Amino acid sequence: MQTAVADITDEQILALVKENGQQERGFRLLLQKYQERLYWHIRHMVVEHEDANDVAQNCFIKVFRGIQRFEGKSSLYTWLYRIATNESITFLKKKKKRGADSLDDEALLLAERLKADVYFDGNDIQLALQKAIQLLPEKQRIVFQMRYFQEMSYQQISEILGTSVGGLKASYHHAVKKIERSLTETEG
Amino acid sequence: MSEKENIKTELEDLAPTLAKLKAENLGTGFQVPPSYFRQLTTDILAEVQPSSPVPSVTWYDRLIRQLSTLLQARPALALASVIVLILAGMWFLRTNSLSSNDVPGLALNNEELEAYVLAHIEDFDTDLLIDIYTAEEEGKTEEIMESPLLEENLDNLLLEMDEEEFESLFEGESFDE
Repeated sequence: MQTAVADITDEQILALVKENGQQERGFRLLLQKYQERLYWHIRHMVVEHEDANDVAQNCFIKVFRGIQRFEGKSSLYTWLYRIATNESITFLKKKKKRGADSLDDEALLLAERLKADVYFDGNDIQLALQKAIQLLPEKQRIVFQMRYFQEMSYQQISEILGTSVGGLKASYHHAVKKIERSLTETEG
Repeated sequence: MSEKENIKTELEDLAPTLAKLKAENLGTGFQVPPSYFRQLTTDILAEVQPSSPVPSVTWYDRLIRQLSTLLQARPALALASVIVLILAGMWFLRTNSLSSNDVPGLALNNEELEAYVLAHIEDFDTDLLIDIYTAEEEGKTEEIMESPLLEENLDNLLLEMDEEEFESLFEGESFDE
């Protein structure tokens, strides 16, 4: 069954979604193919499960409402990731407004929350990695997560974020260097 | 070379600690509740699916529904109270709009009027009473009432009268004192 869903192309999903009486079936297939990947993309950005769950649901509701207007100028994959990324960024900005004042405070608070989170069972180095990621500026953080965890190519990230490949490479390199330094300090 | 290989090579050059961590494939330590993704599909579909269609309601059904609502105990009592209040208001307004002359019990007859005048005869000016009396004889009551007789008016009146009028005025009157 899983193999069958993975074999379905984006074009087939789009054709079903736009066919009268087949919208639900098409959308169900889209969920089966993409919901897990998009959830993890969102989770890496917002970190906590409850937040990721809310953002993922909002994201897919927007996808459902907008898919009839999807013109196919980009791939379905790119369009979905763009929506998920924007939803996550919007969520993080709202959360930041009512939360900590500085990045340092934010990272400390996140580390405390992760220790208490039942859906996080990482070790000290994984916790240190999450803390280091939170200390990055927003753009570097997003690019690092997409490349390091999601293993996307620069070209894919460029299409999703609408940024040049050169700029993305620079952001990723800066992010990696900062995290490496932070991890080394933690180990030392 | 796959993207995974590219990322690994890139990391080994830039950040050995991160590269080692990636190679261990420890992941993030993030977890989800059991059967989470199945539940997520159900939740999302429940959000986006339209609610069950509402059966069409005709005007007749609406009327019957409203009537049955009105005829329930509390609304019926409220409706009855409003009707009683409206009727009481209408009766009150109608009663007040009738003048005292329209009420038979309040009408005065001539005998009662005369009795009232006799009882209060001292309150009236004697001259005025005489003038009214004489004017009644000639049908000039209104004129006199409009211009009360002063002494000079009386003189003018006498001058204007000819002899016949003067005689007719005192005709049949006796001056026995």
